[in-house]
Amino acid sequence: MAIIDMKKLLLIGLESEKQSILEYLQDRGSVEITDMDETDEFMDIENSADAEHIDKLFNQLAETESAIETLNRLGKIERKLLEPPNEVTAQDLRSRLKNKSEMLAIVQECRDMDRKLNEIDTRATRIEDTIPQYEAWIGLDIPVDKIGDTRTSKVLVGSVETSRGQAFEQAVESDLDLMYVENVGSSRDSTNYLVIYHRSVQDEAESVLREFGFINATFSGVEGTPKKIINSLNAELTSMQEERENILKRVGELASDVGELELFYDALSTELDRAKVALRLGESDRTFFLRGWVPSREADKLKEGLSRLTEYYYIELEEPKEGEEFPVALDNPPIVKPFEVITKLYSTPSPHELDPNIYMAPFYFMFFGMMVGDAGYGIIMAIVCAYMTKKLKWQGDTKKLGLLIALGGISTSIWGVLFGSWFGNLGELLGIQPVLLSPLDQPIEMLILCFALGIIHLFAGMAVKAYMNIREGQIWAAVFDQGFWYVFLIGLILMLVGKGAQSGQVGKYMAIAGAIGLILTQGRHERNIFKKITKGVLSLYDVTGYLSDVLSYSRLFALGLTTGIIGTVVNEIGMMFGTSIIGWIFAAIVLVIGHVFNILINSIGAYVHSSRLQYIEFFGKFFEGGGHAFNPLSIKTKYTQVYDEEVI
Amino acid sequence: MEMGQIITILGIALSVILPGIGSAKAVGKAGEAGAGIIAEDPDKFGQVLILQALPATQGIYGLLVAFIMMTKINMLGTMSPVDISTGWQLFGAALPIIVVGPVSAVIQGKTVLAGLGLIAKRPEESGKAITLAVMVETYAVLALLASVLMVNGIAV
Repeated sequence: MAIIDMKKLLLIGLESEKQSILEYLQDRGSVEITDMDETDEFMDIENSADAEHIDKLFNQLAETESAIETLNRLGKIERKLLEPPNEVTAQDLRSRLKNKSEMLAIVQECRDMDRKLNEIDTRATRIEDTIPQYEAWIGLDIPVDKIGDTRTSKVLVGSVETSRGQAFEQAVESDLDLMYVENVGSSRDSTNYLVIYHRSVQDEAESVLREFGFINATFSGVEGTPKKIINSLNAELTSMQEERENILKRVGELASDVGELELFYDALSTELDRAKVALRLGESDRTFFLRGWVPSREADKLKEGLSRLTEYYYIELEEPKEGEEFPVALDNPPIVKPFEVITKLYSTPSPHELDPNIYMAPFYFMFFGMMVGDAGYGIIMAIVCAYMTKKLKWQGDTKKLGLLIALGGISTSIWGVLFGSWFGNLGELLGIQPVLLSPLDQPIEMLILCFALGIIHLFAGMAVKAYMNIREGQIWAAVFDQGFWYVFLIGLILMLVGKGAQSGQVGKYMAIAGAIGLILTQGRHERNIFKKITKGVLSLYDVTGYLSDVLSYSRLFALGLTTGIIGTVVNEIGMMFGTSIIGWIFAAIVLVIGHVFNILINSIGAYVHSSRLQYIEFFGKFFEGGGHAFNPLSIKTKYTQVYDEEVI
Repeated sequence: MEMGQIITILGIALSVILPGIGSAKAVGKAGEAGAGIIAEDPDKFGQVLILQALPATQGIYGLLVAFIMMTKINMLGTMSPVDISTGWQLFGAALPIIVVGPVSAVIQGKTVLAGLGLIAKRPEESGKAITLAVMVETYAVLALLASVLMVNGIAV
């Protein structure tokens, strides 16, 4: 039985031991905790679990994550390609929470440093923008805050357009003895002057200034000569640079311990999970009540473990009521497990039907391989995916997907050998003959093969449905709904294949018998005799559905062709370059990139199209889905991996 | 050059051009929508990529038919002589992918957009979004198969 039996759990324990019991359940990962039932006798008991506490944990988690991100961004952490994650024990992971305040201090420090760096960068940019403004006044040796009129003369600074600067200076020199101008610097298109004149020549001086379009300049908020200002700005820049380096050095130090922070993050997220679950518990003054589901075979171990932990607990396990929905966990042999991801993408099985994975797996394996169908590609896919899954210690669905593609690779190379396809037409060039047939040279045989496999697939789907009917005691439904269709369809196939021969005659009678059976039985749920007959006759129309289902398997041929032909194109383009040494280098690049592209695009194609053949053609015959996947309280980590150690 | 060869080459060119345009259009639109989803949640990149890749195949199918036709008339070496009737036969054989390819790519693109909307809201349902889009692809696959079988069956 591939869907695991579940027992309904009621656990009552002491409030003071709640944390340690929840920790234990999380380590075991075998109990899904549900909300208290609305009709529950414990429902009116107030739950004091603190929502604020959850908010706080949530914020801490987010801050830790951004600290890790900061360290990764600024700390220049060298990560090896294909580096597996750290491994810890559950115990070790939880112990990270003991020095929570220290870790949070580091998180805080990272955040402050990140903010400080941002401030430094903004300020530095602004200073770098300001310095040229003062450089335009570099010759001015009066402190800018001291510029002002004296008793006898007027002192001012300002600019004149550079093109008129010379004329301005000459005009002042030749016409006005009591006026002094000094060129103190220039910016892009204006020249800056210090102007001093005696009050007695004020009118003449002002008219000269007006004539040459002199614009007054003012300095506010700064002190000292422009030179001094620039020096102090530069000094500020240098000190900020130093500060920046110090911060980066500190970041570097912290970054070498980023692993600690990652462990802390994972520990914190397990704490958050526990806190969230605690919201679902019922509580009295001294005790807590927990409802949930536990796999039947884990129940005894759970009891045993709990009694090791404490003697003050009460546990009640009951079978689910008839027709009651329970969470679905699947139990399949390791070779079938990878295929669970495909079914999961469609729907989790409902607890009252069959787990389709074991029936689906061989077909998925076969179809995936056929759609890529190249021995060379298959070997590469199998090795790369198996290696990555093992090396990177993938877990859960990622692991299943990795192994699925690896298995698909094995199937791909089997079909590649059967079809004589090795890296496109490379095998053909080397004289490797197909074992079974060459799809492009014998397209009709290939199509027949596809349809035959399709019919087997469809019939298998019907057989599963028949089995489900029989299991539920509806033997007649199995005979009427699947048995007659078998007779009818097999009869039609025989008629088509054995035209004129004796098998054709047999087929004819089988088809007629099947059709009569269907006409008589398909309307059996109607009351009115006329409706019974019409519904029976109309049911024969479903044969078009079977026809289009079978034709749909032609995609096995078409997608297999795509791989072979693109591979061949890549080879031919490669060969075109292969005339000189440089040409061969080019050829190698073209071949590698081309074949990798071909593997990627076609394995995606094979993945989605073999999924479709399961979802529409196969599952359509018997599978309904709509179950809720078993989601136990367990340790879920992001950065690290927890050992699979036996927890009792 | 003979008229038959010209007609054949037209067929080859069109079976690359039209499905290519259709696929580019659909993949481009899907990419735009996908970028929006990834901006919200970079972890969805994998799901978005698979959906975006779906309407890309029509362009590849077009190239495939083109390539089979090229080998048929030995275009990469010395081109075989093709009479007018054979030229039109090859052109006709390419028509399924020339017509169905681009149309199904654009329509599949629309389904993909809808599917992207679906995974933006419910990422766990990406399998269903993919299946919906793959339903459209069936017709491109059938057109490809028809074209390949026809080209294969014509004697040059």
